[in-house]
Amino acid sequence: MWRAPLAEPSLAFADGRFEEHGVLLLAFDERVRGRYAFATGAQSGGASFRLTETGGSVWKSAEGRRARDVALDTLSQNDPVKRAHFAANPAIAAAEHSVCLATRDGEDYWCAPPIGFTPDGGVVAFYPMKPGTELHRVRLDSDCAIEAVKAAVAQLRRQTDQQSHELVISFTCTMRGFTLGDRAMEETPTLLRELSPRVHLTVIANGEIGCKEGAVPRATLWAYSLCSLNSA
Amino acid sequence: MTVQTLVDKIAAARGPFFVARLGLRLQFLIEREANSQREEHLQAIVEVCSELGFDAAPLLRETFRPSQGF
Repeated sequence: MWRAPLAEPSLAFADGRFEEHGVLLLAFDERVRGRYAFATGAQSGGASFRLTETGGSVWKSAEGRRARDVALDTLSQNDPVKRAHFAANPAIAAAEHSVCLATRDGEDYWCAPPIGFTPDGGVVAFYPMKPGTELHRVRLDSDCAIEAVKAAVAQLRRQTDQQSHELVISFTCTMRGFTLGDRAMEETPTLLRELSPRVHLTVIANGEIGCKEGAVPRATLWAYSLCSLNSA
Repeated sequence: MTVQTLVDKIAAARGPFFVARLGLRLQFLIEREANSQREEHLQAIVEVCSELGFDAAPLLRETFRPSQGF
């Protein structure tokens, strides 16, 4: 039986060039100052639950029930069509319905969509979580995806007053491309209205590293990440 | 043409993400009827592709056989 992988190979754009299946190698020394920003733009969707038992990247139970049932109830909000979609392929359904689960970090959210289910009612997640973690239902549509660019720029601005950056690399999730649709072309102009990098590179990524204002980097997805490199 | 062959052609034309979206709506058909050559199964896939903005009818006609009536 043929199984669809989640996403297509990563693509990169730089100075009018287009690279497929490329490798980006950056080398820099201690005289380079790196600043990082990350945002999803997700907005609260009004429901949440806490994980009760986890094992690695599997959520075993939540609120004392099977994690699969709780996740599907929360994501579908009693809509049987949405529930069937999330049960069939939760990651694709998240993109289809602009709805996801996420952990909250201040005013921001880190997306944590289920990517599959175990036969005994567990949820297979993108990265490990501890019992007690609260997961929120969030909305992530095209407006949210554009807001993520503005939020990431605002994070960079809080770290430095300079308007001119030597190199800025944008990492934008493949899933954002689906969410943005025709508005994908607004992404880079939105960034460049706020920043003036000497070189700007966009990488469309299948999964990103998010790093928020000096915090520990972590794996994430459906996100917009910025890396700014300048001479120290 | 079988359901599996048509899905493979759609995957080649539109990529795996599109087929995953197709699978959300037709998971049972794609998985359980992969070897089916029945017209209603193949047409169901074409109709859902159309709803998702892709005309898969030419892919179906590529292997037109008068006896199948497409």
